[in-house]
Amino acid sequence: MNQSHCSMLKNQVYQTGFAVDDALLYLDTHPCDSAALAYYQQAKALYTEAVKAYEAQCGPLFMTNVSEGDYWTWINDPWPWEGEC
Amino acid sequence: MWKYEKRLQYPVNISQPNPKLAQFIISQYGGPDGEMGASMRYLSQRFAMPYKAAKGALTDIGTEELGHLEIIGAIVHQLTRNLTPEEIEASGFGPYYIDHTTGIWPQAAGGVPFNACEFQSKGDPITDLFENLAADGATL
Repeated sequence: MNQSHCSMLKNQVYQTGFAVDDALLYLDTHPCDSAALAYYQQAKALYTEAVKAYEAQCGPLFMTNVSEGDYWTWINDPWPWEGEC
Repeated sequence: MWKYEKRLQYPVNISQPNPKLAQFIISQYGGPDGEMGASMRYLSQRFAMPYKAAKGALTDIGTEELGHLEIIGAIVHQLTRNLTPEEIEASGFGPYYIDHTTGIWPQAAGGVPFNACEFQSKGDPITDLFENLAADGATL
């Protein structure tokens, strides 16, 4: 899959993942806030979908999602700190 | 325990190296108000925290700070790629380079190594929370 397509899919992971991270911290100290609980479920669903779309075409984000095959694709470049330029 | 998600929390794509800037930014990695201190502060303090909301917050913020540590490492790494010896010397990055080349090592901008004395963990939740206010309030 080409790099710009993967970069677009990864942006979805960044954005939805950030929403999940933020909702998590708020909910830790506001565990009864029903609007926040609903927001978390919504953000989590979008994030799960974004991860699935990225992993299907561009490689695993979680080692438990490495697909079956004859190569351990978890180690494939680029690693996160290497950038995409 | 922790498991790795193979991405940064926020993307870092630097095309123009800048070793002078790297020497400043390394302080956010291992300096007195850096992410290493922040992550170790929260993840250490939580063992003495009696309240479930704060146990959760310390765990999840400490985890996020580890993600920030990785972002800063990525920034410094990308700022110091493909340098010539002349660029290193002219930029003032030479003293860091002598000891670490372009490896990422936790230090303050002035070269002081990371030190656990940058944070406190006193076993008293109120004391620890005040220390957190000082730490995160100072770095906003």
